[in-house]
Amino acid sequence: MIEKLALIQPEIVLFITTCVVMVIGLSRTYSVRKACATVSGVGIAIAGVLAIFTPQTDSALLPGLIPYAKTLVAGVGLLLLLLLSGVIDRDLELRVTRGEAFEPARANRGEFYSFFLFSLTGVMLCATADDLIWLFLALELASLPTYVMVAISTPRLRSQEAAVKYFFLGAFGAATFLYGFALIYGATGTTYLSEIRDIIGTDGLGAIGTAGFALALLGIAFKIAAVPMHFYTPDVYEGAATPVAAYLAFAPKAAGFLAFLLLTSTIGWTWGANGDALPDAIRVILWIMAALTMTIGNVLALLQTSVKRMLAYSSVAHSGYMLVGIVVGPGDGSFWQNGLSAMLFYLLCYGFMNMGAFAVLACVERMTGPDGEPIELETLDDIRGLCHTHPVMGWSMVLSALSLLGLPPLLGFMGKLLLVTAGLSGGEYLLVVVLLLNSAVAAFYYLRIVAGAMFEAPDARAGDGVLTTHRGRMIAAVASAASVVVLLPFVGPLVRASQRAVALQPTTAIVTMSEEVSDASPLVRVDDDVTQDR
Amino acid sequence: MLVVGLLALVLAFAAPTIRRYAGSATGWILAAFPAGVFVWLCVLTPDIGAGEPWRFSQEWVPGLGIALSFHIDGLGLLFGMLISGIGALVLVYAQGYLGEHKDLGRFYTTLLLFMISMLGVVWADNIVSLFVFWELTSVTSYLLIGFDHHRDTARKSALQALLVTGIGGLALLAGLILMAIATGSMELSEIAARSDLLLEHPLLTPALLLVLLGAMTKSAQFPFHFWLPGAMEAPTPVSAYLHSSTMVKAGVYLLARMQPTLGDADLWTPLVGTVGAVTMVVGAWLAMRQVYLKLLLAYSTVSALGGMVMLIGFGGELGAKAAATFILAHALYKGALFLVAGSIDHAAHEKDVRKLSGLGRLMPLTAVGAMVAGLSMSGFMPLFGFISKELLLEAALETPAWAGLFGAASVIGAVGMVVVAIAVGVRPFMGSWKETPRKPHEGGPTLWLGPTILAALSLLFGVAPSLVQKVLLSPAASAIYGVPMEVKLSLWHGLTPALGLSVLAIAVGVGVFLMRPGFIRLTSLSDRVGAYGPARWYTWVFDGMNEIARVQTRVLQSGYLRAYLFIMIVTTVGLTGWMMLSSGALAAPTELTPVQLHEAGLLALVLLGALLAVRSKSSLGAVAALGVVGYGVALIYVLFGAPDLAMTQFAIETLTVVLFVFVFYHLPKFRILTSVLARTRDALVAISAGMLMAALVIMAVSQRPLHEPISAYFAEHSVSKGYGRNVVNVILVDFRSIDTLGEIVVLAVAGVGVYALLRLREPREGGSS
Repeated sequence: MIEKLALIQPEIVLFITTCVVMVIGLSRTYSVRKACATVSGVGIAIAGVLAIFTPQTDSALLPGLIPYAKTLVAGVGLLLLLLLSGVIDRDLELRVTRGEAFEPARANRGEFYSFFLFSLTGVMLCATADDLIWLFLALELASLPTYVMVAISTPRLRSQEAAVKYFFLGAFGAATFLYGFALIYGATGTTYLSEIRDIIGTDGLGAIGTAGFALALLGIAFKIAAVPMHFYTPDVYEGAATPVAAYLAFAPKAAGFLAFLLLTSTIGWTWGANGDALPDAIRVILWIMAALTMTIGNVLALLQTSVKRMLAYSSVAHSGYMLVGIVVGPGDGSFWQNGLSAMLFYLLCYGFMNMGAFAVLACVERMTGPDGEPIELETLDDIRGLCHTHPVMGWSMVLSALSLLGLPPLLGFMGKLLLVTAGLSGGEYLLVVVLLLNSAVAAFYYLRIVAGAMFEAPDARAGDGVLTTHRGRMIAAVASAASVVVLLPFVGPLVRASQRAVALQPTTAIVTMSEEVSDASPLVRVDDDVTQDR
Repeated sequence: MLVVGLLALVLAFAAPTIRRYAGSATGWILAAFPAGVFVWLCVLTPDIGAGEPWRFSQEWVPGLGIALSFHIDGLGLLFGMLISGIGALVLVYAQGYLGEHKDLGRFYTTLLLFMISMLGVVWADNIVSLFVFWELTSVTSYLLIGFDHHRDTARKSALQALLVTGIGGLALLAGLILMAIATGSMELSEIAARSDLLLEHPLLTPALLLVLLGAMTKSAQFPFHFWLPGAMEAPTPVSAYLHSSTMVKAGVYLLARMQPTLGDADLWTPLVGTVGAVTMVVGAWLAMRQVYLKLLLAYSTVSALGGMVMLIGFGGELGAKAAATFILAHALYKGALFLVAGSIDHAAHEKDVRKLSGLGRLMPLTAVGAMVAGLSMSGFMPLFGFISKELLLEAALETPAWAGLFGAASVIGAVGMVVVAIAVGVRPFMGSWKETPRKPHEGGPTLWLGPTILAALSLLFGVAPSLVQKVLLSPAASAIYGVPMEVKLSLWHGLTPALGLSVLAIAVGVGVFLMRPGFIRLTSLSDRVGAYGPARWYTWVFDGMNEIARVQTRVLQSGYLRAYLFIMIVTTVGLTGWMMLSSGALAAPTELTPVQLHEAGLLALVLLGALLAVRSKSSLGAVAALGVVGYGVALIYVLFGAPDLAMTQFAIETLTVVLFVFVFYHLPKFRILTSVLARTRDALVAISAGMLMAALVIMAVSQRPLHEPISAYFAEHSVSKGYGRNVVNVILVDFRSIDTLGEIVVLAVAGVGVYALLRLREPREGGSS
């Protein structure tokens, strides 16, 4: 028990911060309330540092995943926190700046930030999960606060409609994977992932187990916005304030992918004709899911005139890319074959570049609200000529979009390269073809953003288009966009870290299997250092 | 090397600043960089000629084999010299051509970035480095084509070029990775050394096809040639540099680089040779029918690129020698002619060759350069173009198969060259001056220097081929051939069939040129065929994709919650059901206890409740009926021995019903908004979902014996592990102590929250009372 507590130190810190934020968020004094964001930031930073020094453990299924995922979540979480500045209580603050009295009872600041922290805690807990119930609670802790965050993110009715949609569909998703978990328990008689893995290893998956995992994966597909659970994405992102949409595009998705990793690692890639794939039924479901998710996401993005909807669909498509890594599996564990580490690394790349695009969008506003307050801009017309009117923002957008497109040598390309290499090494040729074709389709709409920002004349109305007054957002935008270049020299260590993160907790069955595979592979001489010597 | 690369990048980005201070000297200053590279390459020449490539390597992602590794062998040397040499001339030329343009600084930045990426392409040894630079040349080319971005056509052409070459690039990436998987190395030189592994590998054919696809899109091979004429929207220095002498040759370079690796594959010669020959013919045909300066040159470039690809497809010593010579000759004369075309347009503001004549006297230096380059291009005697054309024809005639076809294709290609060369290089300078929008005059040295130097080299290398054959062409041909070889060039080969064909081509070419108006009218039918050509396919794909997107949006993304839920349920049930059926796992349970009367009654009650909830007209009725279902389920828990669960269910159910009543009280009455058909469909979906769930539950229950309840464990270990006899106490403070702690924290936080909320209300109450 106590060892487990040591593993969740970052979550404990985040939880304490949440409580503090909730309390100071209720203060009657305006200045105390304004401290919510700062306190949250300190909490996340401490959690991130603690995550790096997570003690070694053997109890988790993927021990390396814990520090990796939590550090990533804390890092991106800090950027998100910066980005979220100015989302909540806008009209209230405007009134305060105009010298009117602060009305504490109407402010939602405390709730908003504590929900944000709760959700981050949930994502981190997903990484630590070693048990189905834990995993369920963590996933829901990551998601439930987001429903409220969407609803209160803007005073518009659209946000509330989006939140209702999001909640209902989310509830359906949650019910589906909870039912799947129940069936898995029914099939194996335990909720511990490592025990489930051992039982499956000896007894096989069985019909109930297969159905359980299938339902669980389908339900969690909602979190990562994969087909057929992706429908909410554009509507909800559009309804939410842009920074909250950026949050939705990262946190629940990260939680979902961590859960996917854990569940598929529980089944193991030791099935199929060559003993290196998921069981047929699960593999087929994930394969179809990956192919459809990429394709539908990219194709639907083509028509959008709203950059926000475009980015929503693009985030769907990126989930499809990452699913390719899961279908491929770890191979022999080497860089070339490891689809899982490719997927984790892609999640990192996606976290930064996607945030960059959303953050720039969040920075562009126009002071045309009824009280002269800023209104979000989100159409392609609004970012036309951004490189001329606001060069820093414009180029941040261009960099982020090009990285999302996978333009070499930006970070997004490195991520995609690893996925493609793993896919081809793993023999998933057709899926890689689908991925590459989709990258080509994606070029059509990302380039519309890029060309609009760089080449076209600013929109006639853009005269009153201004940058946000919230410095935090701009910092978040510039930092995320810069990271797609700045992180390039560190790709090697980062990939190595993600490879360590997905190294399975050793059991005899798995180790012999991977040795057999590696003997047959000609690539071992290139890299056989990390997983083999564990 | 890295430092130099970074410095070059800094220089590129500093170009706008340099321009601000240096003004019209900017081009000369920036040209120092490529000139320096050129000199450095000259210094390297002896080593490379001796078969010792220059190497550099810096690890990037170790383990995956990704590195920034470069090597300069004969092929890299030849291309490097062209890129840096012509690059320097073009930088200077751009100063004269675009001198007054307000964005000249940005232009220089992009051009220098392109230069760096292009050098990266031809020197890269690692396939990832190669691909990175490859795509960067596409992107910088995109920026340069779209340089005049206020023009819609410029933007469209730029995008088209980028999409075609970018998509080809993706194919190339896949092909290169397949080659790496087959050979186990990411270094091109290693892959070439292990080509026997590759040639026996099942992935050989896909790898070859993908790499070829990448090269074809980049080098504008049929049917991807259409982007190149569109790219002529770029300012002329760009066309001269990127779209004739460097970037479009990247595909040729790649194939040349792959020749030692893939050249022995059975598919290589038939495929690559044919692609090249077809492109050469199509390009020549289209070129003969153009009337605008740059389009004439663009299509003749397509044709020439086809010729180079064809030669590389032939392989062998002769093919390698001819290819290397052709690459050099073409860069010299085509670069010169493009610069001349730019000068003419700059001086006379006229692009239509039919309206140009008599410029010779007004622009004497340009005229000399143009004529020499034009004669070299059409293959006249003492010029370098003549030697390369002889070699091309000779190689075509000596192919093992289809020599006749390849020979005929080469002659058509040569005819096209002659027509274009006369139209651009000779005719505008002859005769008397015709009225043009602006009275032309000779530009400054920046404008005539480039064409004259390039033309002079065409003449020099023609007269004295020994100047280049040992230092430049032999190493390059050796790199293409894969084995060291010697290139010996001479002007006079004797009376060979190739010479005959060469003379024939010139005669026909001159004839076609003289009858050009009639020729263009006669062949206007090909316009109508051309309307259904590859450019149209591109539009079809583009529009088709949008149409698919439109249909999909209509069908899938309606915005209605119910539609989303419908699809989600159908797919979930469908996928899971399909899985159960296909695995044959659906089996009726065998051992069931008989159903008691009260159990049946309870079930009937639950079902009735569910039915009422759906059918009820009033919302409160539906809520009540739902409550019945909930309580019924709780009773089932009671019956089957889970009283604690039943208690929870009762509590939650009551709370839910109360909440529902509160909320529904404010909602409007139910109205029927859907048709009977839609409701029947929904009912079917709902029933199938229910059936699936039921089937799964029955299977799960009958599969394994249920597990021992955890309470037994607590009762047994209460004393031994918790040192307490009151089991509930031990559970609370020991077995589940952390849970208890969590609950206390929740209560505490909630308490603080309530306290704070109460305090918030105080002042207002005080104020109002």
